[in-house]
Amino acid sequence: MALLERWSSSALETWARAQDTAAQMFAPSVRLGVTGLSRSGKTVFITSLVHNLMAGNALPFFEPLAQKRILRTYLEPQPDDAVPRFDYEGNLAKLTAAEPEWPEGTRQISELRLTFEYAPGAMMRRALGATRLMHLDIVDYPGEWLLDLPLLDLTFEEWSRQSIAMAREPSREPAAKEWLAFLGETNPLQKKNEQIAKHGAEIFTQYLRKCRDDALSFSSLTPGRFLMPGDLAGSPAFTFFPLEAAEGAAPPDNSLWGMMARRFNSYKRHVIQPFYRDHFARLDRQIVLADVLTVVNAGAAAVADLERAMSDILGCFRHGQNPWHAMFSGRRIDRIVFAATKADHLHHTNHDRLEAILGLIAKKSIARANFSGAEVKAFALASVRATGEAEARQGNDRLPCIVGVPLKGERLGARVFDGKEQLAIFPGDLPEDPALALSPEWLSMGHSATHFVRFRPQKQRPLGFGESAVLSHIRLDRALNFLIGDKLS
Amino acid sequence: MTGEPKGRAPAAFNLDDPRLSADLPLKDEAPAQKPEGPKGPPAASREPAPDKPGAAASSGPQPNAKPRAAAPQPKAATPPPSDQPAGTMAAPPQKAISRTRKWGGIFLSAVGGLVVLAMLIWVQDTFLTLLGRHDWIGWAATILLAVAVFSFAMILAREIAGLARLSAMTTVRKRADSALMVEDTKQARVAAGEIRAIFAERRELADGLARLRKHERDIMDAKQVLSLTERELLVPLDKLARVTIGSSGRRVLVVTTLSPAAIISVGFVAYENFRMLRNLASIYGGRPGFFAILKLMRLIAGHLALTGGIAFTDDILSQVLGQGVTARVSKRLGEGLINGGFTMRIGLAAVEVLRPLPYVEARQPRFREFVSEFLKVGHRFAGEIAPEGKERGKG
Repeated sequence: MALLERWSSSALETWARAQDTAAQMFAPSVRLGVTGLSRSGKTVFITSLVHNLMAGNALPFFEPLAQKRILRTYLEPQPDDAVPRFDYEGNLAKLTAAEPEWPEGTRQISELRLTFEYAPGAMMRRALGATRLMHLDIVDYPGEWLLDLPLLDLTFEEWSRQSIAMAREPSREPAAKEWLAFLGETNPLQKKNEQIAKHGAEIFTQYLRKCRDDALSFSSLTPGRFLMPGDLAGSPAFTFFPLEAAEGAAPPDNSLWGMMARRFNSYKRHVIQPFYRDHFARLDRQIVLADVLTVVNAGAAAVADLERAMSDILGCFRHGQNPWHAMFSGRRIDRIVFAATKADHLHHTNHDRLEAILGLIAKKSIARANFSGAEVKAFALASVRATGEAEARQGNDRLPCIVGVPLKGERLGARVFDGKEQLAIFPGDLPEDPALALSPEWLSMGHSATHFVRFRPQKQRPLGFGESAVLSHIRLDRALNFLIGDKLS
Repeated sequence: MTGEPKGRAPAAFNLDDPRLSADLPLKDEAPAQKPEGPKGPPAASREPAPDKPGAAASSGPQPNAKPRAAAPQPKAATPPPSDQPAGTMAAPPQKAISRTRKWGGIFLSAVGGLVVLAMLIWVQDTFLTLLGRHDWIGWAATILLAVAVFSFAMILAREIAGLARLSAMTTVRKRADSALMVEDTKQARVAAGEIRAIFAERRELADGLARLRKHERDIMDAKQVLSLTERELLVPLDKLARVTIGSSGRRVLVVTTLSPAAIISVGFVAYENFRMLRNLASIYGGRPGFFAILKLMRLIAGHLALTGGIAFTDDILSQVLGQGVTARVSKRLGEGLINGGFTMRIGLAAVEVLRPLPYVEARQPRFREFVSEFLKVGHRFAGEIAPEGKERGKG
């Protein structure tokens, strides 16, 4: 069934691809997918990336810039008219305001085209003269949407079984209590009823939301679009929920089960497939952001869940090196970056440990990507740096601290921060062995071992004449160099 | 920073907390260096340090050259026979030599001591008689003596400072090497700070220094800290050094080919090499005195003894070929090529010894690449780096 649907859409895919190929002849474009689960820092990442590329003053390890081969970088109207534009200017204004704030998160897919005018690096090409153009299409989409992609291969009954099993896990049970109670009262074979469907979908969504909150910080939640419905909210395709239905049997007509199964299928057809065809299948490079620190804050269950979500997400990528026939068979993602964002909430002596933890979380996916020929790297980065560093003496010990203004309402021990005072925070040490960091014993120590506080963005220094604002970052340039540096050579 | 989460619970400090030492942007090195002073670097820097005065004062017949050569250069760590440039590489022959030499050395020292004593007595007598005279000759002698003592002190100070700078550079190099090896950002930052201090007054690097200062705070990895330092400060200097080496080699080639007498070319080669070393040392911030150059020569000899064999096989083909063909054209030209080539090899070794950083990101120049430099007749101005600018993209 799912296979059939995929085939039926492949004609459309091929057409889109042919259009792409024609455009590629003149000015090549690279589609960079930026994703990550909610609050992982996608918006800030893109804003900082675009700003730094245009200002060109703070990316010492982005090779094309370091070699002074980039002549000009500017924004251009994007090629896809049906996709909202990424609100770069608005987000930048927020970050560089007199009272800087973090911009609001990604709610839907958006896109931005950045064009480079550059001199090729290779001698041969340089001899041919002329500068070249390259478009970088940055596609920003919620990581939750990726979690939906595996649903393409599932039937309603299979999905139901998985969801219900997950909801019954002890870590989720408190959040799922209400919905599970509702499920117990509902007979899948009863006559279909719009009110029941609506009510059920509502409490199911509430359960998903609760799971995502800070206290639990779960990541693996399907259907992802329920959390970010966009303009289809309230339509039948969004009004369903899993049922305890027998696998293999066909649902009787007019039953609630039949209705749910149908809606599940139209969710796949009208929501997941278009996204897959129009956006996801056309990516060249991908960066997956993850807020590992918050998840570590939340404890063992959240970490295990992130691991599951990551491997689900990465299962969707068709990565591997582009073969010559790629123009017919679809592009492939040949480079992937996993980034643990908000590395500035941690002293730099701990960065490689953060990288190691991320590497462990994404281990399976990295192995799979490597196997299929894609290059994968993990970085600990900070898109916009909100802190400085300091050291505090405590007895004979020196505590590596970070200095910044904690967000209002953040707390450390008994202390609640007011969002104004600048403080030096020692967030604790991540363990040297990443496996230990992911072990339940360590995570269950909770906030006595580590507690990562979130910070406000730093105020901008007053600018000199002709200077553009500097969004300082950590390792953004290295990640960027890995992602697109080779395309500009 | 070791993994013991037990005693280190998360904590918050007010910014005016006395326990807090902030390493905010630019003051980064200053506080970092101080506490380091007694612990870390001395282990590295102490070793070369005590031999500075020794080298300045004696550098004479004593055979205690071994520990000295061993200390400052990590790569030349094992070649004790550094006063025997090319051959004798292994340890055993050195032992034999030192044994036979011992008596000779003692004899020479004793005789030297006697001579010095005699001179001292003569000087003392002369001066006493001169100073004893209360006429203008006596006064003139007093003044001359004062001037002589003063200027000698100045020379001594300069030599010592030159030697200190030289060994400071090797210390920096050591620190950078170890920072790269264990990926210690703090050490790397200290090393980068020291390098910046070395080049702080260089006007041609002001631009790069400013850029470094801007990025410094946001770079978190040892390798990146050092590679950026290398890119902004050392790469321009590498180009300068390259031009210097090339032009010295060329000059030696020309003079050897054209000189009417062998003695002239020998003298010129020695002079040119000395000059090249001094220039190179100044380029990399050494500002060396005479003894510093002598010490540098010894380091280079050690370096050549270690690496020469490898580099030689690397390039022997071109040299043999070059000599074979050119010698047929002109014997003199063949000699010139050999001399020039050797001068350049010494220059390369000098760069290797003098460069305060290992090659992090930049490519190490190879002898072969210098051949083009060598044959580039035309630009002889050491300051002229524009033509090299284009070649950067290659690396």
